[in-house]
Amino acid sequence: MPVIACRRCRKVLQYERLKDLPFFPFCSKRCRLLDLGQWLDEGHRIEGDSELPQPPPR
Amino acid sequence: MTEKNETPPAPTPEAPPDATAEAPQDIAGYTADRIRVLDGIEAVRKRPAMYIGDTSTRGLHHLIEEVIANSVDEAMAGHCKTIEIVFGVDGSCSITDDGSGIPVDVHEQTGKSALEVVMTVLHAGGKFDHDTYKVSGGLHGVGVTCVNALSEWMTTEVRRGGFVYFQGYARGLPVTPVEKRGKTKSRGTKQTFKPDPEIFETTEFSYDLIASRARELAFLNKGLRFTVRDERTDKSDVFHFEGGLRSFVEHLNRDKHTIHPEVIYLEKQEGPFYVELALQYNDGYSETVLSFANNINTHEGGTHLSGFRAALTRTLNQYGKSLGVFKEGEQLTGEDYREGLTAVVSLKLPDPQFEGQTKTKLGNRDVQGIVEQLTNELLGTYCEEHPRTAKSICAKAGEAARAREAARKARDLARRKGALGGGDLPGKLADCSSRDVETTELFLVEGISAGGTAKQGRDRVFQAILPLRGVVINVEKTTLDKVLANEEIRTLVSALGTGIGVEDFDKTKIRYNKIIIMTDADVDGAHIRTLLLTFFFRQMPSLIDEGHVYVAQPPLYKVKRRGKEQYIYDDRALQVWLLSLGTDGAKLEIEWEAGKSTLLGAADLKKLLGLCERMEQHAAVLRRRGMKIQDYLRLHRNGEFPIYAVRTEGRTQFMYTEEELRAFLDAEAQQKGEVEIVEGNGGNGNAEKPAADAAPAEKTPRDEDEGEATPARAAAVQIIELHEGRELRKTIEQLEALAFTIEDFLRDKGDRPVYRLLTDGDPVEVHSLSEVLPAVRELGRRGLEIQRYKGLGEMNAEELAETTMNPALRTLLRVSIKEAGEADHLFTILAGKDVAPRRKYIEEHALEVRNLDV
Repeated sequence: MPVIACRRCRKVLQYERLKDLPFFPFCSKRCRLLDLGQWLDEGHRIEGDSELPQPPPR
Repeated sequence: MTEKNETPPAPTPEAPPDATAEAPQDIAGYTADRIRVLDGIEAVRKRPAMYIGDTSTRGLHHLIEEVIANSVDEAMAGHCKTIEIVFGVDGSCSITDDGSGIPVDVHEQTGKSALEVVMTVLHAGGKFDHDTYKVSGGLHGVGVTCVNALSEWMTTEVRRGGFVYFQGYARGLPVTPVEKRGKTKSRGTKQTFKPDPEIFETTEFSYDLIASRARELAFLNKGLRFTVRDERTDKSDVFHFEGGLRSFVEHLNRDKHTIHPEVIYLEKQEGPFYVELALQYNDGYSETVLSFANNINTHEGGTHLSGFRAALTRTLNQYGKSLGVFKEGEQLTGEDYREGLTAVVSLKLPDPQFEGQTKTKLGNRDVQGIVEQLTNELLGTYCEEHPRTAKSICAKAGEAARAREAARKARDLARRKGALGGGDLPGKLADCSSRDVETTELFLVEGISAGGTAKQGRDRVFQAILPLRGVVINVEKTTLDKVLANEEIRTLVSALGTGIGVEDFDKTKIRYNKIIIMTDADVDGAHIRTLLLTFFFRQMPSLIDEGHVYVAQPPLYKVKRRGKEQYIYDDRALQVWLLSLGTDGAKLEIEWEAGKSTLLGAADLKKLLGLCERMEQHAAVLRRRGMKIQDYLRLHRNGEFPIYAVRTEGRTQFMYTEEELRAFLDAEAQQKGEVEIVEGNGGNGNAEKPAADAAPAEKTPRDEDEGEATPARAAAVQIIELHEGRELRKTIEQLEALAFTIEDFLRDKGDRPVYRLLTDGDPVEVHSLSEVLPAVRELGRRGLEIQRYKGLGEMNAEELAETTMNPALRTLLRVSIKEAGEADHLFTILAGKDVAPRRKYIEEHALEVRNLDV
């Protein structure tokens, strides 16, 4: 039986088919909504690792 | 103790009930007193529902509650510590307390014993006099008289002033005088009654109903002990809680995960009001709040509950704000503080006013302000003294608010999107003309310019293009972050037509059969693809599960040879191709020493190059574990390679067998007491470099083990698996079959041997076996023009169409839930605060293996 950790709270979930978990890959409506909120607030980012080029000194 | 054997007195009313029922109130010849009693009792028997609600099970049990209420009143006044409830085999119920006992002295107005008056005259109790009972939960003094009136028989035994008194009744009227029955050292009241079957639809008492009420009362009155016993079944329970309401809340939360360990317990007496509160949050979403006024469960709430709620929201909000727990602009409501709340509010007050349909709503107006002010004060202090608890409550409420806000935004988004084919589609979308959902495709294209190219190259009948910009400036850190901007998500959701969220997502409304992610073959492209896949995986997994989501496979190279163009889709394919060109008609001459050479024909050369490729792959794997293949090859011992690198105290040792590793760990354990295996497998891009600087070859583990004695402490040991060893051995064996040795890979450029590639052109000479493969590839490159595509934008519309978009020519990769889950995993690492090298490795790896095989 596949196992997945809720993408937000890490609670371990077991399922046979995807439909067994109404909020897959989350444990609850709450966790899915909080994740959605983060997408809409642009909180899910992959940070760039280099600084932007600074304007050349005059 | 003696009354158990008593036969209940036979019902012998002194006057037939119907003779007095309609009697006018002031007929001479009757004592007014007598009429009042008969009137009262008759009224109760004629209309029992007016007094006890109804004559069903509920009304029946109300009788017991009335009697218990009197005992609890005694307890509240501080006179009573234990209450015993016994169900008799004959269908009776007796309630015994150790209170002060009903007074038995002669009542001045009537010349009768006070006991008889209390038991037979309505409104004769002491409850209206606040000096006797400050607070009371009884039914306004009608209580016990009603019980008497509605019982087939009833007996009262009072222990008071050193004596036992007794009186018997039938259907509300006395059948004996008040009798003095000897001495006693104890005190209290025992009421025994059998409900009248003429009145009640059923006279069967429910043990469970009364036991649960007794438990509730025991919670509400800390220290008060209830014993419930059923002689019909021999069942019994004792309820006694020193913790009072605190125990009540613990009981209500018994199967829940609480978010703070201690129940918050607050109490205060303010004038005649006594407020007692207990609350604790669990991680659920529902609210369990019980409120009581004078021990009566106010199911409909009322002023005390409103006061509590207002104060709870206000105080916690204030505290959370002062601590900065909430995000800017976040507005929390009372609803947010109610999620997961378990609370009991108990108020004791004089003159409670009960309103509402079931008379279970407290109506006293002044109470709201008093409870609110007391709760503010007590809870405020509590928060100051228990910041950790207060903080976790506020954090939970903050989450509730954020979820509420997200749901609201999702709803707005769902409303904003037009109906199927509606005119409300985003301007950026170049939609297709077909509305046949079975055949339509939506390309999510990274970048505006590539979007433009895709628009030109598409088949506008069934292919729609939505350009996405995936980069924003992080103002704080002045970096370029990859993100799906809010507007991009809105646009995407509108285009899909499905809506988003929990209730507002409807996959049947999808407007396209295939959603195809088309990104550049660089790091940015990989990031945006990862973001999109993670978004679909988390918020629209059913689309992936049903096979709607794809990744386009644009070519990585365009190769021109003799005027013919060819597209190549990944590095591996390019290598294979170059190799086949390079070996076309080539032979390899190996000049071992002057005058001694071997010639490898096409077949052997192919075999050799295959093995060299394998060596390259081994080298790549070892490089990821921080090791050069040459160093590793030098570690060979009788043809065996190490399968573990073990790192401890800055030294690296190599183990060639499982037994060797076990022996080493045993020795470590013996020497240092304990062995701690630390994380880090060296694989998966772990940046640890166990062996890069380790001087290999001559040092064997045994040499090092004899080292200086180290102080005894748990040895931290890192074990790096080198599974490559076994595979490498096989490769070497095959090379040996072709007459090559490990040495041929270790030798640097010397004079001999010389490897000479013979082709139709000039021969190519190299001096190490490891250089043969690159040389062959180089040969393959001759006369080739190779263009590497860094982005989709480097292709023109025609190229993009024929390589990536045209269904007849393209390759699409259908994304499975598993692959999307791996993208999510990758995203978690990339978005996390992971160390740079690990991240770098994964980025490279993600690019290298373009089929999402991360």
